[in-house]
Amino acid sequence: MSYFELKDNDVFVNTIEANPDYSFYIYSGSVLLNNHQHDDGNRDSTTLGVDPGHISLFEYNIDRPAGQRIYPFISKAGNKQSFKSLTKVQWNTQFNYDGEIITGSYNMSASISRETMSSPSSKLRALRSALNHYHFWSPSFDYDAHYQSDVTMINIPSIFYGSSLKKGQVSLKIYLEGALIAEATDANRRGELIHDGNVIGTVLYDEGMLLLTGSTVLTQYGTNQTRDLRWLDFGEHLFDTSSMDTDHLSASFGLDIQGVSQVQNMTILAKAPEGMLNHSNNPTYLKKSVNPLEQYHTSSYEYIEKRREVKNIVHSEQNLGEPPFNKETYISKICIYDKHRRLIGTCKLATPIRKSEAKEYLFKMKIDL
Amino acid sequence: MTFKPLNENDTVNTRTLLHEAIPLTGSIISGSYVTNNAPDNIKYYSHGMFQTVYDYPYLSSSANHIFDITCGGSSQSGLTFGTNGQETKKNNIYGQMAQLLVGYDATGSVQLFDEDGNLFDAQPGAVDKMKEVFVIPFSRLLVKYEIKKETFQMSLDVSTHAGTQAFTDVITISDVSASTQYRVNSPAGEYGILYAADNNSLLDLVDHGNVDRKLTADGVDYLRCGLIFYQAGIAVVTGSIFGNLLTTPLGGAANEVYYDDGTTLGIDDVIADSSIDDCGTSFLHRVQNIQFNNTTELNSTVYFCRVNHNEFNYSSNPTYLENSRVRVKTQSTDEPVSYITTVGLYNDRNELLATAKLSEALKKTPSTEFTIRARLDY
Repeated sequence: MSYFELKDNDVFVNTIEANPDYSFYIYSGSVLLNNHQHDDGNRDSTTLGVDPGHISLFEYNIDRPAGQRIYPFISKAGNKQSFKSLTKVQWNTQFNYDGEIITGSYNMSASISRETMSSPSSKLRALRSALNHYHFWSPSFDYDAHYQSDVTMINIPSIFYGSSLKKGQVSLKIYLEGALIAEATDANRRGELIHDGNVIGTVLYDEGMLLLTGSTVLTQYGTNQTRDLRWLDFGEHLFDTSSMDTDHLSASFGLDIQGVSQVQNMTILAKAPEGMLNHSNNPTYLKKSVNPLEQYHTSSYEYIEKRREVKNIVHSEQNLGEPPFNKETYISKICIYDKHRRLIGTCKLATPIRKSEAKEYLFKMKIDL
Repeated sequence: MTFKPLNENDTVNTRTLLHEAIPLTGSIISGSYVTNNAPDNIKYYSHGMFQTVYDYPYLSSSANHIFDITCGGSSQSGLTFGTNGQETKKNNIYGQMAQLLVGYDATGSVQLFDEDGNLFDAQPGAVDKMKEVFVIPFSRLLVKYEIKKETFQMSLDVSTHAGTQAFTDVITISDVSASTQYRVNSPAGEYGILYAADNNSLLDLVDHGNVDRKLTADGVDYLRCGLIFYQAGIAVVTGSIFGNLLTTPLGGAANEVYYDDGTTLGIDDVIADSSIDDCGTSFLHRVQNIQFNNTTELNSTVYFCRVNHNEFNYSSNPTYLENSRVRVKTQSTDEPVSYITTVGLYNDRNELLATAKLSEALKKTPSTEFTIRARLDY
């Protein structure tokens, strides 16, 4: 086995950017995710084990009723490992130190949420620093000027988008009786949600937040009692059907986003130069001796191994005789070692490659970081 | 911002074992998703060497692969394994699994699966070799790093039942005492012995001259019936579980195994004459429950960041000053105060590697000391 040192130009890291695409359609308080109808399970009320309109974290317990679900558990120990769903007080008070089992659950879900406020709440105040950070893009992020009265906050969990929302790919739509009546986008890519030339809200890309402030009446709807429809009403009754009246079910809302998710990828180039890697230490590289006792000579003063011939494995299309000998090996695996020569990774070829003295190869290995 | 070097007494590496309980009930494995008498959650292949079991119809993107099932027979077995290439396939499956899980002997021959793991028995005449086996490789999704020892359990119906009939004669297969009695002489890692037990006198507990055939633990008699390979995540169950391990072995016209479609086969025929797919289907219909726990290792490094009374009492944050005076001090005798919000971990070239944020800021004065425990999981 031969070692070759990797040079600077043999290793490089790329970043691959993916843009996951999600659409939310909100109607009558329920959400359709990517226009998929919710599946009822055969054995459980839902296939994914989460509420309709939600994404399942691992999609682990598919159509499994309670009692048949996979769940994680750890033993309580001094290293204070716990599940995030467990509070510090629960961890301290509900479990003993004698290795008591702490269980978690895999049916974890996430979806968009909506909150309205007429004056800045603690949640909005917590976003003040973030708004200041985006302020250089647009005066619409001015906290004191735009966020002191009615605000509708739409929160998109990061599981949907990765590291940030993609600029220019946020779109909000309002439908009435199935017809599109208004659309707002961040087409200028600086966080302003614009409808008919007016800013009706802002997007905090890294935080996955939409702050809607548009109070202009778009239209009125309802048969018995008319009501104004504004951008502030976007997504009303989201996952909350208790306050919904049947007279105002005709409005529905669409939210389309793209995310930015970055994956680092390391590429390693390993060269098999000509005239090298043509010998193997594998015992099968040598011809098998007929009598194992003939392989060495021993006496009171010496131990001498006899010379053994390298096996001729040169490929030939002819079967008339053995082809001329040439030192050849088959490369089947490349191992990567650290500077202390500790094996840290192996890369196997689907098919071993024949390496003769005249040939050279460049192997390209990739690993996602 | 102040840098303080960490010495060897300030860091410790820990390892936590995270487990998952994996229940695979019979209703997950078969019977729940059937269209035109064909299971939607079991994938058959044209090569017919094994079948794949999913927890949901496999055409759905939500389906998770849970395990494969196949059967194999050694060429040293006294049985013949059918026609249409089935004998070759079963020999190959056995050979592949045996070389992977048991390895080779000194002559370079593939060793046979051994009931007690003692591979030094004479072959092929030894009585404790399993020459016809069902093999169940579990999905890595479920096994993770390894199956936790002494948690594997399988309930198996050994009656001559129709597919629609309730489970009646159920035996329990488990890796009793494996947490201390596991074996290490496999190239695939550690493995344990599977033992069968029941409460209805279904098992033939007479030793028949093989004293190692039986194990008694906590007043319960068990019969060896297979092996469970923990890191590989593969269970190997002897075909004798339907044969001479039972008081009344299945097989022959009187004790036929019924399929869902109404056809019948003696159990000997199932292993010997039918296809691998039929073997798998026959076995799956008898599984009442499989359960085990898996293990994942979580490695952590804990950095004890020690803040002494005379350290970190001032801040270099611009907001700490007001009109060129320290904001929190009005007189020179006032104690300085700072609030610790973040701990940054740097390498030896002072490059920031990681930050740990406190959920709430810690008030720091010259009269207080803290040890902040920053844990990095990887």
